[in-house]
Amino acid sequence: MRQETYHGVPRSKIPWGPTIDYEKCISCGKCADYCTLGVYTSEEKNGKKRSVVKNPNNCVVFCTGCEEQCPVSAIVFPSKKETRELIRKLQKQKNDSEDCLKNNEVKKTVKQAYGKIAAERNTGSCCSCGCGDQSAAQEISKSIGYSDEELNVVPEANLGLGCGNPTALGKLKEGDVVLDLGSGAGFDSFLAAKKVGASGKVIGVDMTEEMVNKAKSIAAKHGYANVEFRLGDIENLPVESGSVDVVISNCVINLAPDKSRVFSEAYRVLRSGGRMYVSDIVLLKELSDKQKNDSELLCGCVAGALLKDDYVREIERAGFEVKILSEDTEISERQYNGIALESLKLAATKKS
Amino acid sequence: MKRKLIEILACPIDKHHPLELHVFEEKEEITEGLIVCPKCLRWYPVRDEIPEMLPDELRKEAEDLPFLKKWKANIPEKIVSEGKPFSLKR
Repeated sequence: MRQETYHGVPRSKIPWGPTIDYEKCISCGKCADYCTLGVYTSEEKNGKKRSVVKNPNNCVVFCTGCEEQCPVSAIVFPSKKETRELIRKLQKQKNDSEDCLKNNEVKKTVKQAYGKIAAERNTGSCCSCGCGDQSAAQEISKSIGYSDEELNVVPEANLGLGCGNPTALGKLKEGDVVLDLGSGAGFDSFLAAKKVGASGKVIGVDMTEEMVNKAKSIAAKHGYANVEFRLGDIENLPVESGSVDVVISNCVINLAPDKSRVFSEAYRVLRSGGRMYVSDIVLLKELSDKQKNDSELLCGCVAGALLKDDYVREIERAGFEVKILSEDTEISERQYNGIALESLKLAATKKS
Repeated sequence: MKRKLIEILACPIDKHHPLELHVFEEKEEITEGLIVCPKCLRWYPVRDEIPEMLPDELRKEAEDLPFLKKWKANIPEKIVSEGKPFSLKR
C-alpha cells in the first residue's frame, strides 16, 4: 500500500528512495524482485536488462530492504538522520501554518461580530447576554464598576461590552500616555483622556473598522483632542517600544487567539515601571469541547478565555509583576448563565 | 490622524521606529496619507483620518491596491513597485 503521508507530512515532500549506481550494478534484478511496491521497473538498455527506480515515492520511508539484497552495494539511500531532521522540520511548518490559519479564522470571526455590533446597534451588549438598549448597557456598566458620573461622560461610546472599569483600577496621572487595547467605541479611552488631560495622550487600538470609525466620530463630536484611534491588531501593536505609561484593556484579550503575544507586546510598548490595568473574563473550570468551538461563545468573551491561573501565568511570563485587584464571580450569574467564570481585574507592572 | 502621532508609531510587524509619513490630504488632521516602514517596506494607509496598521493577514488587497493606485504619483517608487504586503508590480 502506498503511503500518502508519513506522520502527517505528505509523502511526496520526503525525498526517500533508492538510487542505483550503475557503475556497480550487475543487473541481477534482485532489488526489483524484492520490492513489491513498484519502486523498481526493468528496462532494456543496449540490449541488456537492468533495474531502474521508477516510483521512488512508493518506497516505505526508512525501508532499506532492497539495499540489503544487492550483492554489490549498488543501491544508495539518503541519510536517515538528515531525512528525520527534514521530516521534523516539515511537521513543524505544518503545525505552525495550521495554528496560524486557525488564529486568523478566530480573528475574522471576532472582527465580523464586533463590526456588526458597532454598525447595527448604537448601544448594545456583549453577544452572550442578548440585551441591547442604552439602559441595559448602563445597567451592565454600573454593575461592573462605573460610577454614574463616568457613565454620563460619553454614553454613546458605552456599548456595555466591558467586564470592569480599567481606568478606575489605578491612578492615571496628568500627562500620561495611555494605550487602550481593543478600544471599541472608545468609552474607556475617553474616560482615560479626561484623566490624563491635555498634556497626556490616549491611543486606542482596535482591529474592527466599524468600531474605530465610531470612536473617531464620537471623539470629534465631543472635541477630544488628546485621543487617537487606529486600526491595529493587539497581537502586533503599531506602537513604539517603551513609549507608553499605562496600558488599559477591558474584556478584550480573551478574544485574542495568542494571548501570550498580546502580553509581550504590551510589555514591549510600556516604559520600564509602566503599568497595565486589565479587566477580563477568565474561566474557573475548563469548558467542554463543544463550548470551546462555539463562535457565539467566542465573541461573547467565553470560548477564548483562559483558566484564571493560566491567564495570570501568561502575564508573568511576559515579564510583568502581577497584582490581582479584585474578582467578580457574580458576573457569571448576571451575564453568563452560570458558566464557571469570573471577571478578573489586575494590575501588572513592568519592573524598572 | 495628527502629525504628532507618528512619533509614537512603530511598524506592527518588525517594530521599526521611526516610520515615514507621507501626507496626501490634510485638514485639521491628516485625512489621507501613507505610513511607510523603511526597514521592511510595508506601507499602511491613512484613510478618513484613521491610520490602518493591521498585520498582513488582516488586510484587504481589494481595498488597499486601489488606494496605492490613487496616490501612486505621491508615493516613493520603491513602495509602489516593491512595497509590502501589496504592490503594483505585475
